[in-house]
Amino acid sequence: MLGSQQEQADLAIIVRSDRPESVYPALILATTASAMGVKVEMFFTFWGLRAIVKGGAEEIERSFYEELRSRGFEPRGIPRLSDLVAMAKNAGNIRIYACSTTIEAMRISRDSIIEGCPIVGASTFLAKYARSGAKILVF
Amino acid sequence: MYGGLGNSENKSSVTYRVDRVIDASNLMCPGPILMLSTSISDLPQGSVVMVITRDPAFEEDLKSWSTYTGHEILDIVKGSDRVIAYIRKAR
Repeated sequence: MLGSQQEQADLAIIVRSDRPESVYPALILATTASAMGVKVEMFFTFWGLRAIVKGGAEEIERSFYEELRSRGFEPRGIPRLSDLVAMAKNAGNIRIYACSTTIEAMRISRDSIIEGCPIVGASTFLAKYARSGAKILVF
Repeated sequence: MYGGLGNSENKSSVTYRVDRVIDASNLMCPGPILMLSTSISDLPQGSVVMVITRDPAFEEDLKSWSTYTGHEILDIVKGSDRVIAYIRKAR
């Protein structure tokens, strides 16, 4: 059941921005934590929700690459953002949640969010972490 | 497939039987660790993986990853512009 203490992760990551400097490090840390055997929960809210809307990761990556090129850098060495989202989604030890208020405020349909991401509210998320020693990172 | 000897950048005196080679030389963090983690998951216990990378942070990242996962670092060979690591799957 959502919100049960048993499902608490070691690391909670809140993504509230769709800026590359928020979305990339959030997903890099989540997927790396997963690779290290650390359980992670990610909560996508406000503009950050765009990262888990279908096609959103590609758009964020495109605008990041354009920004890099406008500053004279050819993108290299960076993992594909859509790959990081897919890895996070498919990892057994990462759970991804979508913020219900954002979905309503931005008129986002459930179908447009990548599959397997429960839509939850603040209490559900807080219930797991407010009294725990888990770390919470905000991007 | 064997690794661990045979070129000038290699200071290792041991040869390993390598079960899989991961060329992550076009990716920086977290690419090499994620490729290693994904790749090692479907190999049997005791398998040896060789990772080739140009990421200057890889050695320290690998040590941290190894501490968490229990997989054993057999050797890290540093060249002028790349690092080659040999990892044995623990479980």
